Amino acid sequence: MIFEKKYTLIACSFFILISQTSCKKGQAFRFGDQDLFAFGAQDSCHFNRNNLGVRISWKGSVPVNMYIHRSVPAKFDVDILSAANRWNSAKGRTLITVTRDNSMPNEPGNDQKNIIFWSADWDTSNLKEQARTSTNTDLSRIVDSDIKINGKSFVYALTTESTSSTSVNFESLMLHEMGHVLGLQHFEGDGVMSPYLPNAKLRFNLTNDELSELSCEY
Amino acid sequence: MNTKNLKLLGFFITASLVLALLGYFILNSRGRRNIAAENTQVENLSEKQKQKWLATEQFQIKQATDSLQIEISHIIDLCAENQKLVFQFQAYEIAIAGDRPNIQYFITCTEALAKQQTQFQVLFSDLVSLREIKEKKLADGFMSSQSLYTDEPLPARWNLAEISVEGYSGFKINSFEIQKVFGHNFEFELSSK
Repeated sequence: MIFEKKYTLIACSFFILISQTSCKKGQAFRFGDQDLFAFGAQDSCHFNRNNLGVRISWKGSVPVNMYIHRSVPAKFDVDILSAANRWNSAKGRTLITVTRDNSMPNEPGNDQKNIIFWSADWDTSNLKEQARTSTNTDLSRIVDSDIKINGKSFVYALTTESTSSTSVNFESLMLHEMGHVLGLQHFEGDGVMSPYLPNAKLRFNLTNDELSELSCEY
Repeated sequence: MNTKNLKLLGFFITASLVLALLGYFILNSRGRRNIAAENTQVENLSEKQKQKWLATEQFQIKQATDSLQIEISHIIDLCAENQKLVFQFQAYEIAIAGDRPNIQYFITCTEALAKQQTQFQVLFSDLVSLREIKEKKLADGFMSSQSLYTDEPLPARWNLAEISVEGYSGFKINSFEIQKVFGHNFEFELSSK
């Protein structure tokens, strides 16, 4: 009998010890994707989405009228126009127009003027970035978009010039940045919206995936 | 007091009682409807979803003028099989290359448990400083930023876009879930001036 009591006591102490230890460790939460209790986002189609999960694009406000700033060397105009035309022909409608306007403001900003700038100053922690497109949005609509070209750390070549391993094809770069102007995000693979454009690479053709995703909004 | 006055007094007392009772029932039934509506939202959920809702609700986040105060009373449970808690803040009116600038605030489980810390503070001044330094070590964790540039203005309007628990039994609380539980996404403004 005494023996049994001892065992009961030991068992009880053991139980208390275990329960306290597990209490100290905490009761793990385990949730999976099926346990989402709120969602509602549209398919992204490689577009950014707002807080309500709605894709952000220019909606019906196309064509997007872009202006070449006076900081951009004039010799690049032809490649910029050609890049815009590639988007327009691929879609069979005018999505982007480009004109040079030397009266445009000197700084990018949310001024509803879509400007292409050339910048000799660049954030030193992002010197590998060839260009940067920023878009300002109002709910699900893009209201302003500017492209800044990194004129500090890259050499650019026109499509008509011979390719060189030390220069970036300017038209391919502009084609990519104009995709961001339209609201597209990066795509994996070797399409126009691939995040990296190696030197000397000519990348002019939109992939079927890119065109099909673009169709979600335009 | 004559009988006519007495009758009038009786009528007023009865009418007041009826009105008071009517008011009580109307208010009470409205309250019940609200509670019923709230419950329906949770009641329609599966057991696991309810648990996740409760786990989300236990993050107590308060907004002050210069910071967000976060109380995580269930941090022991969250950290039981995990290493980190991450609060992701996103700028919501601007995108760079199609993605929103974001700042992540990491809380390390080992540190928090060692200090038995359940209260955390996200200072807006720390968030602003990430435009220059990209990463920052804090007393109770660290912060890092993506798509913030020294040669671009700091985006002004931000919100809490996601809470994630990283580790063996990690999970994410998305912006819709945050919105559903708290009624908003803790919008705040940052200024570098």
